[in-house]
Amino acid sequence: MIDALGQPQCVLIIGGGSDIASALVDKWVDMRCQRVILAGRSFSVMEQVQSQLQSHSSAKVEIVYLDMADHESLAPLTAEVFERFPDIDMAVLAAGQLGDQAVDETDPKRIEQMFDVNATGPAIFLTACASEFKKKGAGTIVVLSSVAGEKVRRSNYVYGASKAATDSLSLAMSEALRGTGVNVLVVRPGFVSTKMTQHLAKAPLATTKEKVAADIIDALAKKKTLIWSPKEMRWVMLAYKHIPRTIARKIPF
Amino acid sequence: MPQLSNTQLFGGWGRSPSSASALLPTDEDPAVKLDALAEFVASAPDGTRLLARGMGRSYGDAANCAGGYVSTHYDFRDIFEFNPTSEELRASSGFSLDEIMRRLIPEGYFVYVTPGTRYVTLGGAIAADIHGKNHHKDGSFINHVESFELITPSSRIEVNRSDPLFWATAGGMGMTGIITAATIRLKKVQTSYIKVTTQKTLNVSETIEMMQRLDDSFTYSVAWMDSLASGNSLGRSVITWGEHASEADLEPKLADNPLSYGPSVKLKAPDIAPSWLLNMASIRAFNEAWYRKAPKNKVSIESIPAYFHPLDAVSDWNRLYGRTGFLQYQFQVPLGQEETLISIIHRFSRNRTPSFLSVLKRFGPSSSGHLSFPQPGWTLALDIPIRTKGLSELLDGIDFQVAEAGGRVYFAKDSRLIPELVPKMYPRLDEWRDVVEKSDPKGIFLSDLGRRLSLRSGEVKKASLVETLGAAIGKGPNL
Ligand SMILES: Cc1cc2nc3c(=O)[nH]c(=O)nc-3n(C[C@H](O)[C@H](O)[C@H](O)COP(=O)(O)OP(=O)(O)OC[C@H]3O[C@@H](n4cnc5c(N)ncnc54)[C@H](O)[C@@H]3O)c2cc1C
Repeated sequence: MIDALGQPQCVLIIGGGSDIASALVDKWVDMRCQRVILAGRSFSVMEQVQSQLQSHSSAKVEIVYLDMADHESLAPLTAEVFERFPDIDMAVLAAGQLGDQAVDETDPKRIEQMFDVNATGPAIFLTACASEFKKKGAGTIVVLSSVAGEKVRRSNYVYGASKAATDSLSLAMSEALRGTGVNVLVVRPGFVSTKMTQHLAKAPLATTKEKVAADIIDALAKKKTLIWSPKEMRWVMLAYKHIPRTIARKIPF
Repeated sequence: MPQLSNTQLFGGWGRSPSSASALLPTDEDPAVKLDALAEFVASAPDGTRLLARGMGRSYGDAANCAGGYVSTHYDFRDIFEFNPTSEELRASSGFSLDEIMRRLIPEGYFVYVTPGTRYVTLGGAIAADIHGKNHHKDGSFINHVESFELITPSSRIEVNRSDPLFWATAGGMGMTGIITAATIRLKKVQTSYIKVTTQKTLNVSETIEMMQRLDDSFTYSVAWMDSLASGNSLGRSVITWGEHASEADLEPKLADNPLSYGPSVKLKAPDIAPSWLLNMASIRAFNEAWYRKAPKNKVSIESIPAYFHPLDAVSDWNRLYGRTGFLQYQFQVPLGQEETLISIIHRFSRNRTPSFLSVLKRFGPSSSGHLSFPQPGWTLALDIPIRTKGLSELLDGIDFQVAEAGGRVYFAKDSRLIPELVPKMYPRLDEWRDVVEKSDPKGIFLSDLGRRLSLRSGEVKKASLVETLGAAIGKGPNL
């Protein structure tokens, strides 16, 4: 059960290999979390996270297979995970694929895949997850979105649009779930220096996975439904969304 | 089998955490309904969870039952029989202490134990084995209970003081079954007034010294403490001792109607208070003003509501903490652990933890309830906004200090305790589990609190975590 300070005891992580998610779980197992279920496609990556977690905590760490691109099996598998681990009180959706705009533009298959993993899969998973939590009368879903999903930029519009779909779905779902005991937190990190981004140049207001994890923990205690990390990003995005297009074009991304 | 009528969100008085449960229907004939309820419990399929809920005055998740059924106090209101000869009241568990007082104070009878609010039910009072300002004299609520009727999965029976189930239920937080009615003893009083002796102290040492020296000469005693005061003023308090006033104590105006009783709710807190309304500055200013205003030393006559339930004058005052809510941390350390008590007060003060008037009280002997909270020593309760920075680490650290000292945290107030410390804080937990395992092997009566703290199952021994966390926090800057 999640306590008054928003701390989970049994978490399901989709995209168990994600840097932010593992930073988050690293902190949770030192708090109240007694069981972590890593779900994803790559066993080798999840096993790494598992042994890393077990090196400093006695929490039980389980690994299950779940593929955001396999839409047919996603809902039944989600239900199965909830049945096998009836104590799950928090789910973190961290699976995602970062695009490479130049290549994506030339390859319809890649566009399809991007939406499969970043939009369609999450829509199916989040809906299944919400319905499981509703039955349980309690639970929290953390969705790792992106500022790229808040305002889709020309420099990576395929990726941005796929994230935008999940971002808006999650926000609306959060409203739809009011009164059911199920809470949704949408997290919009700015530029996080992670595996996914290490080849890119560092942006201003760049943050780290540890800082995003700390912001998420704080937001859960305060029962927020939407945060930016770092929080200044919120104002940057607000300004960005409202400047005239002609000026926006002058911004180099 | 009751129909799943409507699903509803339930939370505690601190507004966090909350969860959804199905409400049991309340529209049937009371007698039929209780039989139907017993029948439902007896034939509940595996995995069903059900919990009785009173007025939701426990602060955390004690009265929540996520994904299960909740029966509320409206279900239990058909019996109310007072016998003046035996001074015993038989009442359905859904009646509140407020209703009992309204009906019986004018007859010259008072409840033996009242908490800081009168909006608690008889069921909730037994389940939490609540204490009042007279614990050092009269013990906890269960001391004044003769017997109660309990619905368990195997029966609907009258449970008396010789039954282990009686003691598992007192402090068992609803997890032994549903109390439908109880027989309690009442106290004869001449008036509905309290003769109050107020004493301001300069710091915590003086508070402790005075309470140790003088508590035994009064029936009621409590200290309101300014937890934000520091330095030489650390733990400065206003102690109020009380005694039931006799008719001779009353001024003529009051003596005309010595048993008059009609508390009124004067204010209602709005539901839209922003979460920052109660912040460090406003709470500090309030504590300061309130301490300054208190007389240094004075004797006065006060009404029962004014002395026992001052907060009840503002209904829904918990809303003032806004959407993020607050929590209450109430712990207790044994006699002889005054140093620990002072060190914890120091820790709150140094951490600048905003708490409106924290309450300090001295406990007398324990009851025999397996999980009953009070034991001889000191108890301190603080209301703290959830938004407080570093709250989680601070309280985790204090949990360890409390457990180390042989003390414990109160389940009725808890919403975040370290589960691994429960067996240490409640050494009779295994005894309780044995009794409950026998009466409810399927674990039907399991609250969110019970699940969060693994009260029914024994598999929470994560020694390494406890040790590392303890060590880490012990070294941390908050100590
Ligand atoms: C302002 C304030 C001051 C307080 N002061 C004190 C104090 O001085 N001393 C003290 O001890 N406590 C105090 N409390 C706490 C309060 O007395 C307890 O939490 C009490 O249990 C609340 O009763 P309730 O009817 O609201 O029960 P709820 O909060 O609804 O339920 C509390 C527990 O009782 C169980 N329960 C309720 N009804 C039944 C039933 N019929 N059968 C079986 N189980 C049942 C529930 O399952 C739950 O575990 C205070 C609370 C507030 C808000």
